This record gives sequence, structure tokens and C-alpha cells, in this order.
Amino acid sequence: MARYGMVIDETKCVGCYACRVACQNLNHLRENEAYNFLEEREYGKFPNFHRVFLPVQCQHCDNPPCVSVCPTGASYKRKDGIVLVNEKDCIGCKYCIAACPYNVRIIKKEGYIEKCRFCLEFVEQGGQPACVTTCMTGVRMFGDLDDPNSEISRYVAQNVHLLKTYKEEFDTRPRIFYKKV
Amino acid sequence: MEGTHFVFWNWTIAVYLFVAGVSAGAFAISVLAYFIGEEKYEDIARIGAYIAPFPLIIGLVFLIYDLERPFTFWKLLVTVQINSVMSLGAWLLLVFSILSFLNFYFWLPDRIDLAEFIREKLKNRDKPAVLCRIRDSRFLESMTRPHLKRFRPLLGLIGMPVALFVGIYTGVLLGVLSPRPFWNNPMLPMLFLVSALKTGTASVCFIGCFIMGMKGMSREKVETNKFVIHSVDFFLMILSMITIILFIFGLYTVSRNSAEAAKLIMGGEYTFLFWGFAVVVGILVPFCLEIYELFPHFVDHTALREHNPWISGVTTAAVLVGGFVLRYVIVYAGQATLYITS
Repeated sequence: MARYGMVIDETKCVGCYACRVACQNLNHLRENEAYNFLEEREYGKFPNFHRVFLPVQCQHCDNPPCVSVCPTGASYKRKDGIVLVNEKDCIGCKYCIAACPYNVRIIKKEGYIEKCRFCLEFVEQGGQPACVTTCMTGVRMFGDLDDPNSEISRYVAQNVHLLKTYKEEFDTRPRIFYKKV
Repeated sequence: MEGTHFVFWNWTIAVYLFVAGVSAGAFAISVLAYFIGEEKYEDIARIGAYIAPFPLIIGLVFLIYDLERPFTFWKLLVTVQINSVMSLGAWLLLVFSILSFLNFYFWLPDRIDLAEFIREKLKNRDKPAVLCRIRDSRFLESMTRPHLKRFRPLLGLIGMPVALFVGIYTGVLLGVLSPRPFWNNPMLPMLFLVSALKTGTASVCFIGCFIMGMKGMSREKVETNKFVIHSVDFFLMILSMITIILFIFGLYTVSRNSAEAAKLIMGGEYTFLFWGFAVVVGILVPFCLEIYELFPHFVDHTALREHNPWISGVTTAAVLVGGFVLRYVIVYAGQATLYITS
């Protein structure tokens, strides 16, 4: 069984927002909606400062708060680790929006909650999510964490001391690993 | 919107949290009055039982209206998700609304007797057999007015914890959300429970002492029902002051994030609403009026003042306004905060 995960190399991100636009195009989102966003942060004081972009999207947690709080069981986690919302069961109570530490869920105008699905329709056919393929600096890396020969597995094995998960305090155990600045 | 905060629960949720508390509080105070003195405090028990079901129904309408897909609300009641406070709460509200309607029916005047009405209607029929069996059943007999009073204590015993759970649940619903530092505070459910009991008591007092007391109130009633409902209100106010202080204390000490969140009510956007309405109008003004009402009895040990419906009316209206603004501030302030890591 595949166990999908992603590595985001924060040091490479230049803040061009191509991933966001690609995601919006693919998922037919309006301009103010997106499944991923960049958290922009500035450190220091001129002239010694730097600015970082942290690409944030659904972390596909192994211990997802959105799944445990969902009152109808519409939020669920697949065996391959992708967290999804079953739009038929979603009643739009918005409790999962309140429970998500990453603030990545949006309300669709059809009345259900949606978020990054790791571009399931591409991944199931052996492809890559749109935010990965569109990135010009190769910030994101997507693959199967269970396959020891996959690019992402080798990368994680080599850089394990540099990788962190986002907002570890919540014990959500994300599937997205960040290489921090 | 992304990365920043947006309001996904608006004032309808605040209304729901408020009226669910009023219902739970009215039910609890009704049962309490019944157990303490069935005869002596019958008015409180009766008014509480009459009030309890209706705010809850309004609240459920608001709650369902707030869903993005209101007509799919029934999906809440075909599944039980043990980990979801909202799922458990939906079931709890179902049980509580049934119990509060039963309690309402048990306290109706004797002339309204549904079971007797059914028996009367079916008296002269001999078929179909099912209807005759229903008519002659002992269950229907036990549902007639003379027998019904025996169920009141049983219903009280079952309903009291359920009502308290409803009062607590509205706080737990928000309190379990760990990414929202303003809500994720152990004192929040307690704050909501005390506020629920306080607004429930106030609603009983509003009907009993203000609307029904407009025409004047007998001395005997002033000394029993009115005195007790005001005393309960008074002590709940002291409790709610303590819980509010501990709530703010908790915000400042739990974590750096919640201390940041506390700024919203300590100088930030919701300062005026919180301190001006939820605290001064909701607690301090009625507290002073209660002291004025109860001073002769507690301190001077003389007879209570003559009944003035306006004092009771202003006190209880202020408590109700304050209770709503408290829910409003907490619902909005909680959404304006999100856990931040460096």
C-alpha cells in the first residue's frame, strides 16, 4: 500500500504563487479561493533581514483533527494517507474549519467543505499533483514514503535531521515535511 | 482569506449557544425548585417547565440555518461519531428537547389532558381492535392527568443531568478546538454553564416577576418564589464573576498564544462589548439591583421590599442581554485567533 507524502523545501521558494494559480485552475476555484497559500514572514531589521515563504496546504495528517471532529463522518482518511471530504455526507457545519490548525479548508458554494486532495485523479494514474509539477524551483517533492527507492524516501532518509513538520504541538503528525530555512 | 482569519460562524451560532443555555438553565432551575419545595416553589417549577422547550427550538432553527446545506441536517441523526463533540451534542439536544417537551406537558394545567381526550374520542368505538386496545391499555391510563404527576420527579432526575450536560456541551463544543487559543480554555465550558444557569434563571424571573408580576404580587409569593429566584440569581452572579476572572486568568497563563488572544478583550476589538455589555450590563448592573432587592433580608433581617416589577424586569433583561453578548464575543473572538508558531 502506498503511503503518499510530500517534502516542501522552504529554502527554495521564491514566492511566485505559481502553485496557487495551478491549483486554482485545476480545481476551478475563484480568485479568492485556494487550497494552498504562502505564509510570508519577515525576520530581522534592514539591512540585515530575510524574508521567507512557507507554502501551506492540507497536511494530510496521520492524526487529523478534521476527521475526529466531523459529526457525520464526511471527513475521512484513505488507507494511502490522503485525507478527503465526502461531499455527499458533508452538511457544511464548518466545525472542521475551526478544528484545523493549518487553516486550509474552504467553503465551496455548493455547500460543502473542500481542501487539497493531493490531486488524487493524477496521483492514482501515477502522476504528480499540479503544485509539484508547476513549481519552477522544485520546492515540492511528492511520492510514496513506503517505497524505499522513491525519490522522496531517499530524500527523507538523507535529510531527516533537517526536516520538520508544521505545528508539531498539535500532534497531528503531518505527511508534509518541511525543510526549514 | 488564506492564512488569515475569516468568520465562518456568524451571530446565528451565538444566538444558538445563548438560547440553548437559556433552555438548559430554565429546565434545571425548574427541576431544582420542584425538588426543594414542590408546593412552595411551584410557580418557579411551572414557569421553568413552560419556558424550557421554546428557546431551544428557536436555537435549533438557527443552528440548522447556519449549516451550508440546511436540508441535510438529518445526517447528524443517522450516525454517531464518538470523537465528535458536535455529533454527541446533536444527540444530546434531541434527548433534551424530548425531555423538555415531556416536562412541559407534565406541568400543563389539569384541564389539558391528551390521554383523556383520546379516550373520550374513542369511547363509543368497537373497531378496529387496535384502537380499542390502545384505549383500554394501562399505558394510556397512566398518561391521564391524575397519574401524570408521579412522573415529574423521575423526569426531573433524568432531565437535570441532561440539562446540565447541554449547558456544558455548548462550551465544550468550542473548548476542544486546540488551534483556537481563545476557546481552548478549560474554564470556557464552566463559564458557559454558569451563564446558562444564570440566563435560565433570569428568563424564569422575567416571566414570573416582571410580566406576571406587573399586576402586583401577593406578599406570600414575594417571600417564597421571588425571594428564591432572586437569591439563586444573586449567587450565580457571584459564580459567574469568579469564572470570568478565572477565564481571563487562564487566557493569560495557558500559553503565549492564548495570552495574545486575550488582547482581543483586553484593549482589542471586543473590549467594549465584553466589558461594557457582558460584564457591566450582564453582571454588575443586575448584581447591584439584586443587592438592593435582597439587602433587607440578608443584612437588615427585616421583611423584603414591596414588589416592584421594574427592578426585576431590568435585572433579568440585563442578564439576558449580557448572556447573549458574552456568547457573541466568544464566538467572534475565537475565530479571530489562530495558533501561531514561530
